[in-house]
Amino acid sequence: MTAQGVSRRSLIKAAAGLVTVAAAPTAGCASDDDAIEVFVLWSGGELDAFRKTLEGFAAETGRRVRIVPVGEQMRELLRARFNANNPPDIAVIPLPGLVREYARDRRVVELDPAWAAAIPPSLNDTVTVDGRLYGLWVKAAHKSLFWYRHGALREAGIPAPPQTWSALAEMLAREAKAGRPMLSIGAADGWVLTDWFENVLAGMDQGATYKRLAEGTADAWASEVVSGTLERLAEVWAIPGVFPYGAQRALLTQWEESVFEVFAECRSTMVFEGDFVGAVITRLDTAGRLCEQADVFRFPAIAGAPPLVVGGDVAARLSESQGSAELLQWLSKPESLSGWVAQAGFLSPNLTVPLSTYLGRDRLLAQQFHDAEAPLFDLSDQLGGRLSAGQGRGLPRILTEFFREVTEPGARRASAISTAHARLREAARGVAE
Amino acid sequence: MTDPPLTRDPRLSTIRLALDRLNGEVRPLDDHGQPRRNRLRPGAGAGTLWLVPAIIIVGIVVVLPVATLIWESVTSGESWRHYFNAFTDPQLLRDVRNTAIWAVAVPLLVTVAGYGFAVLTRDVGMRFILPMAFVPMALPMVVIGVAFRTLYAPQPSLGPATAMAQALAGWFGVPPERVTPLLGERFVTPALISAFFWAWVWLAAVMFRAALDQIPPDLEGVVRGEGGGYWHVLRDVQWPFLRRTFAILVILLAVMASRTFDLVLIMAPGSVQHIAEVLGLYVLRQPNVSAPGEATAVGVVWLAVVGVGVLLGARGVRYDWPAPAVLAERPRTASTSGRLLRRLAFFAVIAVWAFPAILLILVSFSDPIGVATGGWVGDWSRAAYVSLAQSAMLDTLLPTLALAILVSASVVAVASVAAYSLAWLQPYGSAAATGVLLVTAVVPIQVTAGTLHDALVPLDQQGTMLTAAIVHIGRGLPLAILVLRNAFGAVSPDQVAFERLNSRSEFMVLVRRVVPAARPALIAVVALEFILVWNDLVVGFLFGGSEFTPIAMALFGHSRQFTTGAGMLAAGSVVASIPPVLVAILARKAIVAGLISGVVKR
Repeated sequence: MTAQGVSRRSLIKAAAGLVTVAAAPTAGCASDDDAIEVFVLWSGGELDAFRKTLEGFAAETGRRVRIVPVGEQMRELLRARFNANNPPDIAVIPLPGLVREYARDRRVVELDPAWAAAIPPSLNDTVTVDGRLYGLWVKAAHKSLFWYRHGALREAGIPAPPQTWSALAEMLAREAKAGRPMLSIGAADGWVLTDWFENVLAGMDQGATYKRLAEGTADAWASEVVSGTLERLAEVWAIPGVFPYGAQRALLTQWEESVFEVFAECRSTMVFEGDFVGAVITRLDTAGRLCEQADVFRFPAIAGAPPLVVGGDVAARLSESQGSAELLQWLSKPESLSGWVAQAGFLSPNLTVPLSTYLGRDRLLAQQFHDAEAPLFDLSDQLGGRLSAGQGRGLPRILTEFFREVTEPGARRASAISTAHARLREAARGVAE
Repeated sequence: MTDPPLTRDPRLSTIRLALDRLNGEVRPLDDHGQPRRNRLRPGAGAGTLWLVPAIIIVGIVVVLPVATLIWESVTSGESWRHYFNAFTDPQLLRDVRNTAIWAVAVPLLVTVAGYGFAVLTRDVGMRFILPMAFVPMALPMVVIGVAFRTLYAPQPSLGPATAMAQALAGWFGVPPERVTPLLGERFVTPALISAFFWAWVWLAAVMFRAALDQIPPDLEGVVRGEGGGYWHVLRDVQWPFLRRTFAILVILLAVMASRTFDLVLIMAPGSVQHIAEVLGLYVLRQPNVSAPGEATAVGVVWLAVVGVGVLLGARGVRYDWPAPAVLAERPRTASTSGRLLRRLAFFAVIAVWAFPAILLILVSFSDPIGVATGGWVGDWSRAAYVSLAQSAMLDTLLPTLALAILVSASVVAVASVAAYSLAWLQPYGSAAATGVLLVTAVVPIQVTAGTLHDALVPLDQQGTMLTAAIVHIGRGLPLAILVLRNAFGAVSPDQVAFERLNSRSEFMVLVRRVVPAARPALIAVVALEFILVWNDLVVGFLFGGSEFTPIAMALFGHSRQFTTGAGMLAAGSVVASIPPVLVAILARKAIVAGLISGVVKR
């Protein structure tokens, strides 16, 4: 044939190739627009509980919901989605500072304040920009708790849990010296260490410095209260033999595992973390692997009243779709999350949820939450700039390094404290807000 | 009919030559009638058209984002400050050092060790070595990360390596708490490297074996007869044959090592992530408030280094020793008793090598809570598989399978057309093809992800399988074209000429003559692409969404709390490993043949 013949064939083949590539994947292409997409940070037990709860929404309204657990990549994934102009309908974010940032970038749809009427104003303030509300608090976490084994304490001859920090440190040191490690800690998860830091900091001066740090006053980090906090932390962390397997391994132990150490292996006596530990304990209990019943005591006081730090998750509406508004409104109703409340480890920030809905020890925690005048919101979740926690960065990283330094055998505590303090001041210089 | 006479004016003859090149050289085929063009060799214009699909896809997925990235980084305000800030950040410098180790030291280590293993197992039948090479390589990196993190777990009750280390330390009177954990600060990067080594060294050994088996045995005898030791044999006899294999392996491993994104994410516990971090993760982890400019600056420099590096490395692949044929078995000549001992030693090596995989399987059949608390050995149960079946992870199996099949088929189709053109049709730009293909093959995806997102926005398919497919195809095409071009080029020219005379079109030549002759390379490309897509985490991480989650992402999502989730994670890993390992085993001979013969530079 002629030159044209071959060229035509090539042309047709090229066009066919393009069309095939563009049209081939029909599976998965037919995106159902009416499924509401929700990004969540939760995993494991919390995720399952949320899924079950949303089945209630699906049953009531007949709308499909797709829950996407994004783990620690929430920020990166949201950024990618924003760039692609394809945000999820709702994102449940534990960082009110991030919600405010997105709101300023006009990525978040404003909320009807009536939906958030039952939530403490101090929490609503953390997601308000220019007087407009941008997030709905759906979950609160009491983060000033120690979980312990009552029987183990009694065996050690200790009648009641310590009420003050010095009593705690003294008890742990005494028991560690006698060869009985009592404390488990999930130091592989940096945020565990920041929760320790926040509670001690809040307890030092009833939250005064804490509030200044949260507001972003950069030179507040240079305060003596901060270095005093590091000192107190070193008092406990650096006790030789206080961790059941040593400090090096504690640095590789994640928080769920630290709970298992206490309540599934009965290897140590107590672990500090928020009320969500309750969900893990329930799981162990259901599997019949709980080696002893769990009790709680409030984070010990340092100077004055014991601190109350809360965390939580905010649901932000990222798209204008009808479905996202419906879901958010449903979440704001007190009875919607009752199923989750019925399991352990869920605290609703909605003050109209009756205390009687909470079971067992949760009721005590809810009581403390209701009674608090202005619970201090988790500091690390409010920080921005180079103090904010991207993976392996920010405040958690500085505290992990501090933990590592003070627990080294032969460590010089004073120099570790001043190094960590210097790093905090350095990182704080870039804090925006 | 004779050729038209050349004119006397040299400029006109240049034009004529150019026109001839475009339209195809005129050659008389017979003595009757007009000269017919395009029977012996189609024109460059037509040949270039064959390249169009590949150019479009690779252009959109790789070239355009790279160009946009470079443009943005240089023209945004204060761009030089970003470069300065980025390169004075100590974390970045640590990342650069880690990435350099992964890109340079690790491939060299694995290649040299592969040579050593090839020599030591000279007497073992190839059929025993092939599974060792192909099973670890085919496992998803995520799965390898899970297996090795379990192996090195700091709890001696879970991690056998830690148990052995503590037992060993106990002999010397060191208490367990003082034993440095294998995933701690000091040893985490070597631990990661060991996982990579485990996965790839036997493939290097197989390729060296295939090359060594081609060396005529007499050559070694000659050198030894003249009093040469092993070093002389290596330098004078083996090295000229092995140079190509060595270069190919180093490049291939460098490309694979740059994908240690997955391994670092899964294997390094949170408190040591910053120690093991590589550039691929740094680019993603910049906090929001610091300008994206810093990540861009790093990305550009990284691109430049990688591009130059691969071009330099490719020069090592050019020379003319004949390509080793596929896996010819060499007659055994060593002494009997030594042979038996070597064979026994080899079977011990197989047992050791299989250990991480066996560990994973054992953990998956144990009670998950027992795994988390240290009482798992002997505590067998199917609970992990039961909760796997109830979880959302299994829903990702079929979509991932569909994506892998779709992408493999598309890549081999588009690459065949482009490769045939580069091999036989002399299109415009074919001289630059090798360089362009090599560079586009190694572009790190994290760097271009942002700009690629923007490029794909008009399709309005974010987070769906289509987006993932396009990205995968664009990333798989360059290497596939390289391999196929050389495989197609190895077909004998007489055959091609014969087919051209007898067929109605060039496409028929491709289908009837070249494809059957290059079948191993085609199978290798399909198999490797399938495995790469199935095992992929990065593309799913960056471009996936709620519409489409590849199975590696599902596994990663479940590794958040490692020890307490290790049971179900092991079960998911076992299930996720079956398809790629099956494909690798079925296509093993083709893969080796394709890799060896397909990368010869003509």
